[in-house]
Amino acid sequence: MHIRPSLRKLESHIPTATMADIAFLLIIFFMVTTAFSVDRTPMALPQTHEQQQVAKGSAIISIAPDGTLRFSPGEQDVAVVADMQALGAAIRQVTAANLLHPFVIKADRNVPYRLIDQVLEQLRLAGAQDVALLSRPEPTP
Amino acid sequence: MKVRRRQLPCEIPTASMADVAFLLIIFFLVASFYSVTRGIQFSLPKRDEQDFSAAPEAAVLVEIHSDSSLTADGKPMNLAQLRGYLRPKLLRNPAKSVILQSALDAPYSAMTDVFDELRAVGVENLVIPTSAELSLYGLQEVE
Repeated sequence: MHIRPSLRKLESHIPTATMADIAFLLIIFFMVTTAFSVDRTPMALPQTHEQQQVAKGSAIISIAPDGTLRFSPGEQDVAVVADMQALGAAIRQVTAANLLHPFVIKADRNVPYRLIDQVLEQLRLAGAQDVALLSRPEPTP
Repeated sequence: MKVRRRQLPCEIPTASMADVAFLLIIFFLVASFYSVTRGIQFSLPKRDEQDFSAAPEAAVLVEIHSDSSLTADGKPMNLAQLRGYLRPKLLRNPAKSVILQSALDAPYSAMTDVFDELRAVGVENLVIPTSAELSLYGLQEVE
């Protein structure tokens, strides 16, 4: 028997419409989970075993190795603060609006404790209740 | 005369949309590793809490000196010994207070190392008085 090849042409087509759907879903996931760092001052953070997630949008107090103080109330990029009094005023501005606003101290490991002590004193005077010290995880042996 | 119309294929080109989308994915994937967002929770004493000097005998006083050496209740020890010193005390009384005092010239990492150790042992009642608080109660700073 003679079989005639079909005259109907088969179209080759890869369905790509759903790929974009999946891709946008992943984009939204990464957009939501991405926390942009507001302070990019390079420093060697202290290392600790205990690690807890710091609240998103925390106010950041950054203390560079040379003692430069930087502050960000949470959303904006950090700005250099002239001295401890100015830092205290900035902290009080945040705590006046919300006493439970989280604060993060990002300090270099070689900074003398004197600076940390002064920052803690300012936080205590402002009545801050949620303070965390930023650290890197200790390397596992 | 009959004009035959050529049928135009109607199709929205979606192939490049996925390219753009994947480009954005890669950006957010990379950006999500930018920031360090983990640390050690530090609970400051509340202002209306009772005086920390109320029962100094009952609390363990851990001092960090300028050369990063440690003393607990006046006895010099290292981090591992501190753990052994505190564990039996915490077993007897899990709410045992520990006062951590650091010399102002000591590096910050010396304080975080001890702080981390105290948290690891399970100290819940940790007090870190600032130098202004110490002078308020007429106490000496660590040398």
